[in-house]
Amino acid sequence: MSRFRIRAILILAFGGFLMVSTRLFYLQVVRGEHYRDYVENVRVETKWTEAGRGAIRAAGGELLAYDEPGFHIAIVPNALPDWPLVCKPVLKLYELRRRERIAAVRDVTVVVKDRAAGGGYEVSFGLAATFLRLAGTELVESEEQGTAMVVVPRRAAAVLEAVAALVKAPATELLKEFFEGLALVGRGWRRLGEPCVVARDVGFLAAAEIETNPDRYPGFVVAASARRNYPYESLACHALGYVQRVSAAELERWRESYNGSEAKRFLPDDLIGRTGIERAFDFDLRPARGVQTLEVDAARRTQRVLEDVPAEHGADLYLSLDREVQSAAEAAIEGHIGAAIVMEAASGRILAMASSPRYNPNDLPRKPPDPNDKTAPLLNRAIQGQYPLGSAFKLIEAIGALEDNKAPASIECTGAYLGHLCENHSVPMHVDLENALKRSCNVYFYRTANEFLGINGVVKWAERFGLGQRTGVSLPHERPGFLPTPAWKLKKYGEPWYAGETCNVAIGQYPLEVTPLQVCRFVAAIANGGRLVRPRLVDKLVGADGRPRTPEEDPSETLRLTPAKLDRIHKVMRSVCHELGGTARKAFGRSEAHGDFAQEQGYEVAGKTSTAERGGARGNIGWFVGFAPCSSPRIAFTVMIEHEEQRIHGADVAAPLARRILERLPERYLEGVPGRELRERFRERLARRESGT
Amino acid sequence: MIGRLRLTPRDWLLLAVLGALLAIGLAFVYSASYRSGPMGEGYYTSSPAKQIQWIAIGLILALALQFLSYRHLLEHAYALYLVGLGGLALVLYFGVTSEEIMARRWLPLGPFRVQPSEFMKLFTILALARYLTDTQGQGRLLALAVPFGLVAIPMLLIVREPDLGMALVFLPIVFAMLYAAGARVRHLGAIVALLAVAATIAWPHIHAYQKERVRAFLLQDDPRVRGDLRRLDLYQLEQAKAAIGSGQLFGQGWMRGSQNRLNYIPAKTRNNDFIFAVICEEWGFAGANLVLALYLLLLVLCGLVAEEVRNAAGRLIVVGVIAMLGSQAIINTAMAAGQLPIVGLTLPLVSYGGSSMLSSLLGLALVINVSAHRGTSLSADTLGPDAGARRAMAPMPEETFMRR
Repeated sequence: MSRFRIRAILILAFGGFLMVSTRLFYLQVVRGEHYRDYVENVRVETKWTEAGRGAIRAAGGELLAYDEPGFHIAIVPNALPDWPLVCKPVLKLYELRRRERIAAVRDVTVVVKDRAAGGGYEVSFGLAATFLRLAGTELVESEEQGTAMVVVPRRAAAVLEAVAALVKAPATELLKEFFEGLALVGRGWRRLGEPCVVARDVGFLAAAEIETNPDRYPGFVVAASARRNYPYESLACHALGYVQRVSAAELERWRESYNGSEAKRFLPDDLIGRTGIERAFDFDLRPARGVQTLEVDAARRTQRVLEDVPAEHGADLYLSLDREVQSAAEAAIEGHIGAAIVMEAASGRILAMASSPRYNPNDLPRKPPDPNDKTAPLLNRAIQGQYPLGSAFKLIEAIGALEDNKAPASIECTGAYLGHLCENHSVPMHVDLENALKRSCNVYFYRTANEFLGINGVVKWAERFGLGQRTGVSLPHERPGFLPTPAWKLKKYGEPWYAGETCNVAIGQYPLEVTPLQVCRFVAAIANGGRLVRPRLVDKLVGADGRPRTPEEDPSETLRLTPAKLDRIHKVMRSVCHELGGTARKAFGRSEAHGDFAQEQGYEVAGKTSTAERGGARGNIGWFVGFAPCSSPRIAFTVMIEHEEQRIHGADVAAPLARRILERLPERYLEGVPGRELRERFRERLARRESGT
Repeated sequence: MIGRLRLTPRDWLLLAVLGALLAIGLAFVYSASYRSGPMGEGYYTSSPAKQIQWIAIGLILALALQFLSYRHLLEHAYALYLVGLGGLALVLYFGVTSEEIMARRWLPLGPFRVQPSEFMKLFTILALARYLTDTQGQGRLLALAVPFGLVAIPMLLIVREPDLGMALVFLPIVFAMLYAAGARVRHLGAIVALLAVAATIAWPHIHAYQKERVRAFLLQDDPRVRGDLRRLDLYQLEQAKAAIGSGQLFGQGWMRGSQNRLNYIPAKTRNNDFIFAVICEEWGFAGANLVLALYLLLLVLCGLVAEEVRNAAGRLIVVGVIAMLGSQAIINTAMAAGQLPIVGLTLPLVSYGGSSMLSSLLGLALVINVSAHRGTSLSADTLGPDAGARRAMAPMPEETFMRR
């Protein structure tokens, strides 16, 4: 009996061990793979390492944009006082959406209402969400709008206001930033414990105050990260562009990889180039994040570095922009609304691209320009402004007529043709091609276009010279302009092309539209003997490895112009500036205000004035285009001014401005051009005069 | 002198199994004593060295125990029992808490800290063996009152420490000894039912951390709680399970388990309560079963001793030790594998801990003692001057107690 009972006890023990062993079999053999993975993951931590965005330099090496340390104020959501009251409703909303088989939460617009009386804040969210639901057997997409409301509790609001006072920003602004950051948490793009930046570039003192008194600002932390600095402020602001925090839509698109590069992918609060070079070369400028794969113990202390991919600084850009030329161009058109471009005629390197009015990109994050400002300072008029060209178009027509051997030797201008007027010279008068260009006779070109070249010939040559097409300059948001054709009119209005419209196009008026850069490009083609170059802004990129590389270049198109015929055009353009009766003679010849340009500078300028009318009550567009020196062209330039009045000609305003830019052209662009001593003396005088005033 | 102990090959095998378990235990205490530091600059604590000391002390005491017969101990069983109770009472007033656990379980004794509850198990076994052989039970339910009373007093004192796990080990001991002594199964069943009722009544009064442990155990596979690993017990359970699972068939290798070496299994329990998780991680399913098999072998060898011993008290002592070691081993391993709530119980002979090591070794020394003295008659003993007095008490008739 006793023996049986002892055996029973042993069998019971065996059962116990068997039970444990069965469990071990389940954990180690059946689920072993799962737990091995879990263990591998839990001991491995990946950490980002950061590097700076590439700098942008002018041709001479001057820094135009670079990263410098900045202090941001961020909120750690789950460290705010009463955070569940603030965060939970928002996150819940998102969770709800996710559970409903959501495809995408589109936009979150946060409207912050300042409730002055109670001291709290109400935040209401506009949500637009796209749902995918199964209706029967089909997936149905439906859009839903909704709003949600969060009342920020008093304690959190008090801290918020204290910080707002410290950083001199409205508390509502901070709240808006915060809730937009919280929305990212809701999407699962960020964790609740990660700081959301709510105020950028707050300055050292505010940062120090928050950093040293964490008890007074619970939930707020200082995040040090790069801020973009533009040391020359508004210099070349349009060409450079600016950076902003990455938007939710961009984040969604580039969260995994940025143009195929995983290391350059975006995280919330990253900066992205918005316009200009910053946007066009954002990928190159953007640093590659490094990844450290670490083995960590339970206290998250690093044990071993398993993998270390170092962060890579973004590529530095060297622009073709010359700081002196750029500031001369900007100074020239300062106070006007317009644009000025200076380009190396042979290569298409842009030495200056000025658009007026300008803005200061350093102020943009905090003081964005008024969107209702009619002068639109953010607009880069050099590539985004589309204007009728006016009589500078006659250059293209003249070249076309000469090349096609369809230029009339001489016609009699009676001041009108088919009801279109010519008021540019005394009538009646016999004009040949040279005279017609010099005096800008309209009738000569009305007749050339209508009777000799035909509208199709005109359009053909305008196309060859790149009008109505993007120049392909490496800047975003370039506009193509517009080149009207009979085919377009038939399609758009269902009407045939009229001779009167040919007359309009013949003198470059509406509906023809060009950008100043297109104009500068075709003038450069005239100057360099007929090669249509692609305008370039970037000379080279220097990557993190220190090896320079040149952005790929399109071969320039050769227009196969006959040198002798082009020479006639050059001569006419010279006479425009330097001969009696030339429309720009007033600006380049001797006058009370200034001496003769050729005598002062030692070389002559080829140019063409142009005035275009905009419809309605809007003022004229004044142009002065050309190249210099006339005998051996080095640079092509374009000055465009939007006037407020109608009775103003390009010759009156734009040509003197072009002269001011040319006078300040550094000697390095005029090597081998005779008259160096003259220019040096002139520049000395200029410097004395400018320092005197 | 050892020669006078007539050790059979079976006893030698038992000693070999014991040696194997001690060696494995020492190896894993060493592995688990590693503390990771920054950049892999870890260090080993002194616990393996201390463990060697305790094993040495334990072996010396076990050897010393062989110089007297267990029957002498039985003679003083009640006195020892009272000494043990005194120790437990002292713990409640003068006990110290360890730096890791907020419970008074230790008595400071010079440079050492001893855990009286560990020794109380042995004293209770002796007292029960003495009582059950002394009394002639009629198989009545009421006759079970005294044995249960004998375990209830130390249990209550231990619960006060609090050390619920240790207290609960007394139950298998008393049940196994009563069963082996011939108590009726339905009576024992009735007591189990009674205890179940008592447990439900006691539930609201147990400590919060204990409730939390039970909750963590019950909810361990609930996805809503799984992600929320802030609660230490659930974290511990998760990490122990991950450690066990990641061992797979043959383990990550001794001293190479990442859960162990990188501190994921909390350091304070890694070399004692959760040493089995370390074994599972580093030696895998194969090694863990080897340890379980060694335990089973140890228990079976003890069981053979019990079957062979003609002396009822000796047999009951062996059964008590079997119950003590077996139940602790099962509870500890099952707890690590997530089959039981977390309780602070060591894996006997393997875990780090002086008192636990001593009581396990002394328990086995008792078994060896019983085995070695199984055939001796008292007349053959040279027990000293009062041997005659003892003769009156012996020989104890076999299977005369508690018979129907």
